[in-house]
Amino acid sequence: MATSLSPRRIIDCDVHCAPSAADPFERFLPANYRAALEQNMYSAPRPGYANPFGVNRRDTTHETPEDIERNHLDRYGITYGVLQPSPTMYLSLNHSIDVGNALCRAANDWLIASYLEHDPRFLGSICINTNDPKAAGEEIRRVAGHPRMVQVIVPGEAAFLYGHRFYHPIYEACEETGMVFALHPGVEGAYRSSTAIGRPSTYFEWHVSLSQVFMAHAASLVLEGTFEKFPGLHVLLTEGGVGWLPHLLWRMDKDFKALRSTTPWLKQEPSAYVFEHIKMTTQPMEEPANPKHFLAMLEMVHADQTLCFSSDFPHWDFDDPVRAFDSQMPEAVKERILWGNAYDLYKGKLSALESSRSLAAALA
Amino acid sequence: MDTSKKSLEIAFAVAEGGLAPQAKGGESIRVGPGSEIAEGSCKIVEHGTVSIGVYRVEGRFLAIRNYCPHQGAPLCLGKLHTTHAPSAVGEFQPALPGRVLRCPWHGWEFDLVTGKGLYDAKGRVKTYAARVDPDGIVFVDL
Repeated sequence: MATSLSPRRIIDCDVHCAPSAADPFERFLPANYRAALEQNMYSAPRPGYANPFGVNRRDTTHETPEDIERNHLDRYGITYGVLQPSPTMYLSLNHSIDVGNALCRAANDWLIASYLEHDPRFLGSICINTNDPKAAGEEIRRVAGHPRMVQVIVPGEAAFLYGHRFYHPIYEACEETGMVFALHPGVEGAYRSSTAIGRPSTYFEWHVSLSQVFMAHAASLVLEGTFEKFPGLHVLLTEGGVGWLPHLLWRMDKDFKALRSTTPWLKQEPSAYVFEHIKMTTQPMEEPANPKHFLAMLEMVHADQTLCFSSDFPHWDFDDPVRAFDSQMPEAVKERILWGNAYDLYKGKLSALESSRSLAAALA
Repeated sequence: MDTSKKSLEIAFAVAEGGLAPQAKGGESIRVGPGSEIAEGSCKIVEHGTVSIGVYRVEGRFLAIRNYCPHQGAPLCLGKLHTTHAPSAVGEFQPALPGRVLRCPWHGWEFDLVTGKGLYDAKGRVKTYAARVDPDGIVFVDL
């Protein structure tokens, strides 16, 4: 393991890994599902928007765990990287519910065997079938006990807004096991348009519209009373943008004054639930022309409580943990973004991992 | 302030447990015969620059300042209604029946008895003691 270039401690909340021809995750699928795969039951809705220039960076590789260690963790001095396995996004909405459940189990077993057991810097995300919340809850309970499994990952595209009670079995399992419920873009537009009006014309327009999806889920989670029902639930909005949050906070709190009696389960201002239960990742970091606007935005979203660094390695819109942030950002805020906020989010697992790291360092 | 309670639980505890201001003598305004104010309706009286709405709710007279603390709207041109108390997810518990005044401009809710705003822990509107003399004339104490 190479030494880090920076003395900083960094948690990267969005690192992608993918099965390969040499290490397919289907090897973990029980034999009785093999025929179903041959019968094309491994199909899921797709949005139809592909990056015209390829979604991956051209200057790096991520075929194997060693590639990700060398090209990312070592190179940028990442203390922990939270892996988002690529099958997650489409398996969550697999057309066949049963095959989808089996594929999710296989993807999780593959992630544990190929990555989490390979390098203690890798943290895992549990892949679930969001169209079968009961089975998803069972799958969360099955694998959440792994010492480096830290969250559940779902795409922004879903049958319902995530505040819908259909998903309560998932939140119950997350709360019970201490798993964070994380959203990540993937197949928005697979069921319906990623915008509220119509289908975008280009990947450009689709990519810009993803923040609308995240806004809709955030408002739904708060206003449906999800955090009153599951006070131990924590949500991480990954790669959904940040700059929209002040608008949503202010609009929700303003409307609350007139419309609270329609959601009487909300016992405090909507923004209070956001600050207690929702965090966001940084990448793709908004880059206003005037750096002062960036610093003002950090203040508006309480960045020292809510923002967690993410790189999105190895994707095209990757952010470097040092270069992505304005040099005028206060050091204390930078520390919270690069380490503190994500540490708090994953504390249940990270406090144990940090103790064993210190012990190992003391013995060395 | 009880910090174990969330802001709306505090607001409803104040409103539901509160009493209308009690008459304590001093300067008062003559509103007029109580018979002029029908159940659930309001008569607005002016005193200098102050405007006050006097309501009859379930037979008793309640007086509130006709001025919303948000943007100064004429609060008493809003409607009286019943709201919902803080409840479990998926439940509706009607509360403060017929005594919640909704501002005509932005819909903020106020309890007519205590003046407590039903949107945060602190907000409120001034309420006044209203009394009826032996001749059936309503007065509001300032």
